[in-house]
Amino acid sequence: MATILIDPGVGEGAAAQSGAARLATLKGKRIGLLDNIKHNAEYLLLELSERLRAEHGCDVRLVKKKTYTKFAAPAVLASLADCDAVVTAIGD
Amino acid sequence: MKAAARHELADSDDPIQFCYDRGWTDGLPVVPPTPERVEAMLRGTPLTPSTVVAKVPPAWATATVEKIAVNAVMAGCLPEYMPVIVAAVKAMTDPALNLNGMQCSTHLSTPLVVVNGPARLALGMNCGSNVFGQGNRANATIGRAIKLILTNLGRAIPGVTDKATLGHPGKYTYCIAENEEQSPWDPLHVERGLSREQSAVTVFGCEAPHNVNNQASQNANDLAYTIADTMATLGKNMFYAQGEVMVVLCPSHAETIAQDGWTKQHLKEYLYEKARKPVRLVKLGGLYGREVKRNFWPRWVNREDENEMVPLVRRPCEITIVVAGGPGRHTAFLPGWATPSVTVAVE
Repeated sequence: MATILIDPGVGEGAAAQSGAARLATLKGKRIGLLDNIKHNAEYLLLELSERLRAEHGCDVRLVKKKTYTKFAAPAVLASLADCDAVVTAIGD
Repeated sequence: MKAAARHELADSDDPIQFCYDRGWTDGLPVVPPTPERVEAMLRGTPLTPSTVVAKVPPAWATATVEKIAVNAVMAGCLPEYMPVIVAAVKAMTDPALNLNGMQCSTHLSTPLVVVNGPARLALGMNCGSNVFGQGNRANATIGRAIKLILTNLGRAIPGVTDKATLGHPGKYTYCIAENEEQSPWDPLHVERGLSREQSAVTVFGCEAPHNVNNQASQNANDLAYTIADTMATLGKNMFYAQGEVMVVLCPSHAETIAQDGWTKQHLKEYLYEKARKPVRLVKLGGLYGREVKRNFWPRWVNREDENEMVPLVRRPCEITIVVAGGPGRHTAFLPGWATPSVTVAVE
């Protein structure tokens, strides 16, 4: 008789998630930047912000989480809801 | 909640290797979770298999009683351990613990389970010599079941979603029982409002135990000073993020401290006052300047005064005291991850 084992986890494919659809172009897009307030995240995002504005004419919105280990507050996420894309960064 | 998925193995499959291949293990062999073994494990709890106990981050998968039992089988548990494991899953998924952050952090903290009350004795748990070490089935496998749940349901995958730079051995198993019989004070769960006859688990996200060796002192002050000095080191999260810490006193140290008339509260207040570092030394560690605006020091700390003493924790109640271990004069300090411990009754 065949051995049966019971799955201890989330099962086949249950955890699979796909990324958001890629933008065809950055030109003129509204881009949200979510800073988790880790030590070096801000440097990376500020540099990115400048380049998005200068090279692609993006409308850039930088917002910060209150605590880096916890979820962004609903109000913070809501402030990014009308963005075409959001970039987040951590930086230890 | 629907039942867990089942896998039918080919005759040529080795069940232990099958578990490895599926990524279900911690790197050590597991007991294959056959339906018969899971059914037997479920007899250890009055809860129905479909009962939802919690959602485990970062995947936020649902921990049903059945899923917990499957992981308990794999860890090598006995059915009677189930109520303690269920309580520990409840405790560690309390939002206060921020398990999601802990599971994904570069920091090496991981949940420690401390068991109190009659269940310790009923399950034959070790609260004496080598309490953090190997050799006791209940301590080892209850702790391991929790870690397998964190991996299989939480999907904390090393290097992928578990971003710990180093990790620590407590990520295999990390479970102790308090030595209530040799403690001069109320045990942890009684301190937190439960009766002595009630079993309970406390879960605390923390580093590995750091030894505090003092075999010479015969008075409370000297012993407490040694503990405070061991606590006040720069590399802990505390001088940056504050939060709770745990001190696991050996019975002999606890007895010496209590003989001088100190209560547990006295010890907490002493450690709160003495486990400090001056601002000038904290600066040497770089936890100042740009970061000073983001640390969680109490408002009363004068950041401009080089000699101001920065406390390790914000208040005495954030120093949790447990008595455990056997003969000898060694205590342990367990730095936390800036979140509090959570106590839950075993039902």
